[in-house]
Amino acid sequence: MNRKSVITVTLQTFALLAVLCAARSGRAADATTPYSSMAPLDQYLMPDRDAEIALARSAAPPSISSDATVMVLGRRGYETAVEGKNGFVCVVERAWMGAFDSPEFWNAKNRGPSCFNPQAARSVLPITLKRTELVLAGSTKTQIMDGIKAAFQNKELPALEPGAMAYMLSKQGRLNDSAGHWVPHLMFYVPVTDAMTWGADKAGSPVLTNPHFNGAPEPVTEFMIPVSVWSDGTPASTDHH
Amino acid sequence: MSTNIHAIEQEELMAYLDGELAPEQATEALSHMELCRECQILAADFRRVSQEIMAWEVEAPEAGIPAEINAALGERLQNRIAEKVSSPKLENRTITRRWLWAAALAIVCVAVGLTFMLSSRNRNEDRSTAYPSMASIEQYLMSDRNAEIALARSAAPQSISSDAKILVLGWRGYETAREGKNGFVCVVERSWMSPFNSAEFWNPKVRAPGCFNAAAARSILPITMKRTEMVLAGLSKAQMIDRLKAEFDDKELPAPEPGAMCYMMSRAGHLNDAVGHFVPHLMFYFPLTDKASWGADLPDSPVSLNPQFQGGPEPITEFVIPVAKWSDGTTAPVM
Repeated sequence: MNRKSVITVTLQTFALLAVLCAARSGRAADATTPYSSMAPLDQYLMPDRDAEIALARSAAPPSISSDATVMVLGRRGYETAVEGKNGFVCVVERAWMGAFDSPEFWNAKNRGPSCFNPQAARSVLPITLKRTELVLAGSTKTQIMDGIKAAFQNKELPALEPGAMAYMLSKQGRLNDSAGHWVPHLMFYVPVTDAMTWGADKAGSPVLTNPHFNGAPEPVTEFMIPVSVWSDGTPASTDHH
Repeated sequence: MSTNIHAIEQEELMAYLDGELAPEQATEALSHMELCRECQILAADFRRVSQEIMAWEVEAPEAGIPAEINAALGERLQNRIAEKVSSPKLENRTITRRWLWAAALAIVCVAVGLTFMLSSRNRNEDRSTAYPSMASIEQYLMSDRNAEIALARSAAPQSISSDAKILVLGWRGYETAREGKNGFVCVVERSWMSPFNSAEFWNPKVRAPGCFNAAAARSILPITMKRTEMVLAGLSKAQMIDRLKAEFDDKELPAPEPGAMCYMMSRAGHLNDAVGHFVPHLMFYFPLTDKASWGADLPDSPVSLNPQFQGGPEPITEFVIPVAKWSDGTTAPVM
């Protein structure tokens, strides 16, 4: 075997090892989720801007959302599509607003329409915008978490305002693969607290905690209360909890 | 005749019932009444008489008297005149009758005067409602303490209320019936927790079970305690409003804590005559705020504003959100 052949075999061996290592690493991720990493950005975008505006507005009854500011997701982040006048801001959130350990953190199909009240628009929506900014910058989950922590420490992200809440009453949304549009519900944001302060997650309680913030890393506890009617006025099933 | 020594005169008792005593005197009157069964009975009598007189109406006479009756009366009158002429004894009887009529007239005058007097005394009464004034305290109390504990607990699912502190209403106000360990406090509120302009402010049938979370127990429940204390002290609505304003101004009553909320999921409650037990719901408290900030009371919004406080006088906004099930897990009708 000449010198050239030895070099070739050595390089091929290293290449094989690298592929095997990558494959092993990939298998570890795939074992927990089919959404192991971010999909191409286009899959998260909605090509029909009007459809995204309508979907965002479906989060709340027209009596609220028709006068709300509406933001849509573009390649550079969320941008204002419609200026509102009642202080509410409606937006379709994407999968990366889930908990960081969620297996669907990168699910490109997720669409979470929400209408934030003025207090939440000022103090909770900035989290959505920040996470989105970090995602579009190509950050890893670890980098996103670090970026969020730093933003809170630097006061780049504001403290939570009392009375911050959001509507999620859309029948057209898709919160994740298992729940689909789930049930119409309201969300309430308070500084990190124990679930029991609201009697959340106890047997028979209508209050649930959403694990997607709760100090990991955002210092926010989010309570959810299912309601009986979708934003279009149609009744929803009450057998959800 | 009673041999008891009373700390209050009957006139003071009447003034107390009408909410006209100064707070200190009212407290003294209430303290005495708590221990004095005789006074409790007397108070109940006063209230009953007052209510009966207020409700009393003179029926209008028939439009016409039938001819046969008219004829019979005329004949009887003629006979009596004839008897009177022939019998001097009857003249005395007639004079006696005149005195009886005079006495009757005097009684009517007294009754009418009493009515006017009571009307003027009950300045706080709203005669447009079936509940114009406070009923006797007994009517607001629940004689079965265990029943009140169970009713208070029915405000929230057992998983919450079984570990909650329970308060029950007594003659001196709310008192602890069970100590809790999860920070929640459950209590059956009475009608005087309604808005002051509510037609049912004095409805003694109202029983409103609520379980306050710890933040609300510290910052909202004190309002319940304060209103109850003033009611039992016999204060008028105007006095209560003034006192509440002053206490908020002086910070003796606290501002709502962030996250203050309350469960009202009891199917056994009676919130008022119009809605009965209403629907199971949660309540959220904030410093006075525009209801639009929660989208409350807009078409198809699940959020509504409860007018219970809202600056009248408590500087608190209360939002209500109906939920799907009663505390016992049964499904409630969609509102």
